[in-house]
Amino acid sequence: MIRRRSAVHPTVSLLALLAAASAATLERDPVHLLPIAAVVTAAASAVAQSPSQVAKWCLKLLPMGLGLGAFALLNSPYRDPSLLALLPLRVWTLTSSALLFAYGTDPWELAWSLSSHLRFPRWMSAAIAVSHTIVVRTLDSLDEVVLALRSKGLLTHPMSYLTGAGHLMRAVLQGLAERAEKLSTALEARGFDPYAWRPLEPLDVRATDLFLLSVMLTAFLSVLIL
Amino acid sequence: MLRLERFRPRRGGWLGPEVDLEVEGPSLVSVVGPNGCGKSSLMLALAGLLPYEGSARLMGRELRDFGPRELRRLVSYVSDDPYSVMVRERVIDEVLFSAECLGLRPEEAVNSVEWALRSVGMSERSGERVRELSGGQVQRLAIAAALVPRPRLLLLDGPLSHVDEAARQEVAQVLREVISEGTLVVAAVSDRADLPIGPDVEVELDCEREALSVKLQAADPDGSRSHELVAEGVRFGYRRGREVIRGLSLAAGSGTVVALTGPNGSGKSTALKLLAGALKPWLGRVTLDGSPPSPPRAAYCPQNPSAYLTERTAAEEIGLASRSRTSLTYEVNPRWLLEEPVHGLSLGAKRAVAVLSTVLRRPALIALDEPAAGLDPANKELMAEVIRSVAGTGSIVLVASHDRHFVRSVADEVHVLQERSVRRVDP
Repeated sequence: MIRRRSAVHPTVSLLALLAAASAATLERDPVHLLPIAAVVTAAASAVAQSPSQVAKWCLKLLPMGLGLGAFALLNSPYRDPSLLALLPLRVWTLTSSALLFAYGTDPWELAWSLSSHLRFPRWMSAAIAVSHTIVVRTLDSLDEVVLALRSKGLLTHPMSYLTGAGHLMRAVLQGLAERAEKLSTALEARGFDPYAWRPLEPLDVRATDLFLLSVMLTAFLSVLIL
Repeated sequence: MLRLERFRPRRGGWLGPEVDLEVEGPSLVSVVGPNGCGKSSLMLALAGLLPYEGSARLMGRELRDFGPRELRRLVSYVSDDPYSVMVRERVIDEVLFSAECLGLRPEEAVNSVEWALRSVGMSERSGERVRELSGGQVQRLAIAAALVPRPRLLLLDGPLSHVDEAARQEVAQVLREVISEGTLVVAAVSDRADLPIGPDVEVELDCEREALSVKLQAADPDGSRSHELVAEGVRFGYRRGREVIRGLSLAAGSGTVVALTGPNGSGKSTALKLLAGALKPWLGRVTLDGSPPSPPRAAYCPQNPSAYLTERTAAEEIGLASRSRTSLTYEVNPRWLLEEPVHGLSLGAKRAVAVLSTVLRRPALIALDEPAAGLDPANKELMAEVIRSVAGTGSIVLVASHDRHFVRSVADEVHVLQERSVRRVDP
């Protein structure tokens, strides 16, 4: 009955996220970054509730990447057109690696993994787990918040996301603050103590974890060498 | 077993209502009072999560003298917003988390978790994802997680506001079983009708509060456009092979209040979102005045109004909506309430402000998800008045609610969702 909850071992997921983020930040050739983006997107799609969820978030943030690319192109002394592909690809890689982390790991297994494998202080790993829980719940409710704001006549067309960004931020921050307060009360009521809590079954490392990690590291090293 | 003397919860500088109570053995105690009068603070103070004044003795010992670990084994608390405080992805893991927090040994944990899930009738759903449960199922799950330590005092804050009739009977059975095993249950409710069984002791909290009233009127009652909502053979599911709605068909015109009702998990909120254009049907079609509905022509108000009240005061919130060329006039009493911080208002007042700020834009359709959940009788009446006012301005109003009395008081048409199918019944 007791089993592992994380689709990807939290430590592996964290390392994969770091590898993807480093590659996205360091690599200047979009062709080299492409395999990392593909691996992370495939891994995130495999662990998300539905594969389309990852594509949906990546596509939502893609315009920001395109905007950054256009801005960088205009400001670059070399007028390098590859910036128009590189920056959207960086945003895509960072988004999908964040989703791999958010949906692939159980926050409490992550907390345990951080404190037992990586020697994080217990309070810090618990704080990361609580933030992870709140952020995932906020992502889940975001569609409903956007729908309610659109019903109030805000965020009705793409440009209104610029003028209505303040309203959206206020709604999101209000939701985050309320959740954080309720969650901290509920955890205290359940007797959660970061220094005493431990999962009923230790985490196991599976073949799929090692496979993901080796593919990520290989792709990352290839990017560095090339 | 529990003795309260001049007991008053304290939250910063605010002091809650004073309660005196003496209960000898396991029983059900109800704490009844209107929204915003301090029921939740009272529950939190009894759980040892807020300071208090006066005295609270549990099993002969002052509550503040218990150590935290000792208290958690004796007292369990269920929040009024259980979904927000779920921490795990799957049902079984959520209940197991309680066992992990208490530091139970694996075999003891497994036994307690199985018993808790069985007690609330959730054993068969143990492998399901929490986010896919209905509001009522989430409340039962929260009770299961609270039962894991087999507490002597179980505190339920608004325990059944989202639960349908069938689930209420199940929870009633759970409460009887828990009480028979020696637990004292204290349940805080806004409406006596929310309790599935008669309490042995009732504590009534009295707080003086000016009643809110909202009135809406169309400036051009004869010139308002008529609207028509048509749904034909709508089918929908969130995952391939798992259909939630099968064969939803209805037609509604201007000024009609259509209620969607049914047991928890029957797809009321999903049907509401389909009719408001927030979800696209797999099969069939939904049209509003001949074209697919979309915001802001079709407006949607979620259950939790805090999620979309973005301004500081109610006046600013309504003022934001009034910037559009509205042809509605409104009257809110008492006026001073409009200048209060919107997030400090009672749940009923927040919902009324949220509906008002949406409806001033004159949508053809407004969809309200569980508008009466968690409200006291006065606020339910306020919400019914707001809904009738909105319908009076020519909009089509859709209401998803499991509260049969509320539905009967506002709806012109009632559609019951059960086992994925939909049938129309008399209000």
